[in-house]
Amino acid sequence: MNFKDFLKEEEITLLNNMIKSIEKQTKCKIRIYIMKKIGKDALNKAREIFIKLNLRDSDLKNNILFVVSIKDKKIVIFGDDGIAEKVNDNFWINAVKAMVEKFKNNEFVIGLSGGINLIAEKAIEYFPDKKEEVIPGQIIYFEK
Amino acid sequence: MRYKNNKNISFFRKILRFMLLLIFINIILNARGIEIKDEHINDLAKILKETDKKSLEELLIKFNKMQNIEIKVIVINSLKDYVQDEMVIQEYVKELFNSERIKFLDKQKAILFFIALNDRKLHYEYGEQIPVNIISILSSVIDNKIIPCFKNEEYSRGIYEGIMEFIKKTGGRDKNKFIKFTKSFYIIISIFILFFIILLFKIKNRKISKVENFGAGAFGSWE
Repeated sequence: MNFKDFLKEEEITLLNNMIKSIEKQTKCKIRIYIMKKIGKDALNKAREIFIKLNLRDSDLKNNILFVVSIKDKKIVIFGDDGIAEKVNDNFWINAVKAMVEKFKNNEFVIGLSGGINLIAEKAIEYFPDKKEEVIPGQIIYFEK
Repeated sequence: MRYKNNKNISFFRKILRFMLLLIFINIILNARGIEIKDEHINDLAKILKETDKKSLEELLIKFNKMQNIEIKVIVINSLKDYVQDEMVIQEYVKELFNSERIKFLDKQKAILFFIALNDRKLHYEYGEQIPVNIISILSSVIDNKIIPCFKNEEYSRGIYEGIMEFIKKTGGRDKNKFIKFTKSFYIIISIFILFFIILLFKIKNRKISKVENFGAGAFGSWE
């Protein structure tokens, strides 16, 4: 599968709308990064991407990143210090496990939206917000 | 009167002896009359083009370094310009080769190639440590390359191409040196590549380690 064909246009729109509606209720930003190969040190690579996407530049350090590596068949969920302080390690592990189950059945959009929903619950709980509109910007990134 | 005559004869004899001595000295000096510069190519006949001379000079320097054989080439117009009596070229070149007038790093590993153009003669002398195969190559190059050119009066071409052919043939023969060179070359290149790869890994690791340790998360695989 070509990694750029991983999500169809309508699926991208669906996930975009979903994240936008979550971000209206929380001060957290959620971003998705789709790439070819993440390598062995997936968590560290996600950390690098996190910085690259300027997700670190928040006062509350509460942004969240999903990384999907198509060739390595790996998923990473990574949250900044603010949110990491609020949840325990098992939370991340369980969220990834839930996504992996769906991905195994090639249900990528369901898997992604499931994972996003799990994260969103905590984001809204610990960093609640009420916005009419979210600041426009890219939500899903494809590696160049 | 007789006494006077005897005195004259004695005087003439002295002059004769002196003249003979002068002739003898002249012969010796003439025999050593060629001014040989400390170069591989001494073109006293000025037959070679300056560019050809330069490139041959460079080639012979390289050849010396590679094969440890020093070759010197002397081209003159005629031996008569330097020797008054009928000295054969073989004797002259032998004497020259063994004399101190031509400098070699090691005479045992040297070849002197001498050409007298107008005399239509050439001769070479070589040291005892020159391998037989090198001499047989030189001999074959003379027969097949140099002499045919000389017969067509293409002296410059004959000398240039002859030396080139000789270097080419003898250079190719010394396969051991070539193998040694390529082996060491590949070893150096391999070490360099290995060093470069290690350096790349180190840079990459350093880059990763430079990323500040922050946040938390988890990853999984759906394989």
